[in-house]
Amino acid sequence: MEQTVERSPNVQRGYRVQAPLVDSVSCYCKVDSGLKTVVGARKFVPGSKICIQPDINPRAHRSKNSRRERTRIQPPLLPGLPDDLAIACLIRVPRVDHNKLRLVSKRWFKLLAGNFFYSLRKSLGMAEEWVYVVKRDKDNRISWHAFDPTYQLWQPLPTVPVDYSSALGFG
Amino acid sequence: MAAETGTPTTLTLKSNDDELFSVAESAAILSVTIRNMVEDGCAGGVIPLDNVDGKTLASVITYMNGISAIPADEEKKKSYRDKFLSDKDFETLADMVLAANYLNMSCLMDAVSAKIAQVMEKKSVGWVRRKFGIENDYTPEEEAAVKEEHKWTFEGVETDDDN
Repeated sequence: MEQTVERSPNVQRGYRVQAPLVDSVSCYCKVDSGLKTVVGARKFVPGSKICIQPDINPRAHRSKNSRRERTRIQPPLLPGLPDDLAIACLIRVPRVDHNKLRLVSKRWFKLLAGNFFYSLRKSLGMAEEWVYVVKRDKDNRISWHAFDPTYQLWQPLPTVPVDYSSALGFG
Repeated sequence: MAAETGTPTTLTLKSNDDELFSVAESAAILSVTIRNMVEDGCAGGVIPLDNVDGKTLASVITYMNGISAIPADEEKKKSYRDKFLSDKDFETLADMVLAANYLNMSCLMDAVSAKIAQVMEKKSVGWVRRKFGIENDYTPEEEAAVKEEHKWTFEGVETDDDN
């Protein structure tokens, strides 16, 4: 605001405080044509640290390509059904079978191990809650188990890492 | 329309292989797709269902008639659905999922997809692959690695039996 107020009398008096308009345009052109690297760009554009992120994710393009690749060659999740309907079936498989079914094929692994599958089950009210129990035996060794209340089954869990197997407690 | 004539209205459905089926409007409107046609007044003649073959449509109509004959008793409806689907193989079930999706019949869609899921319960990985015709695209090394990573999950009961 103060600048505008100050500049007005300057303009009226006929000289410029700012750089001439033509010069600034040619400056931007130079940046555009000479913009080879992020570092180079930062040299030309003051304050560009805020606008240009030097840590661009190098995997962004690769994942785009591989997605295209996947849609071209990937087999259906369930032969005879489009994937959306196959997923509508698979989300109804009880949780107790999920880890085992990851072995069916690579696409099943990706589906069952991904967040999408769980979020879909959760949003449709199909997510099953398990109770996780950590216990210590008489030799002070720690092990953990999961209990599936729907099927009344105790589920095995991976063994407790050695570093924690003799821990006195957690938390 | 039923109110005008005093007798139940019958609709004629045509499968994509040109089979014609007569079905009571009260049963057919379990399909939201057909109900919309009836409400829009365009169900007067033959209703073509281009995505459903005659064999599948016959099954769907059997289901429509069966389930609509049961009064509002969810337990009885469920046991009818279970019995109706009990002897269907995967190919038939997959056709019915496609038909239920096309006809927008949520109760049939839920029942059939749950049945397909139920078939996989407590079965071995090899059985699931064979039953559904899924190619194992793991190399033996990759498969061994995934199995090793998840070996604690393979301690439960699994079976190759059909039941």
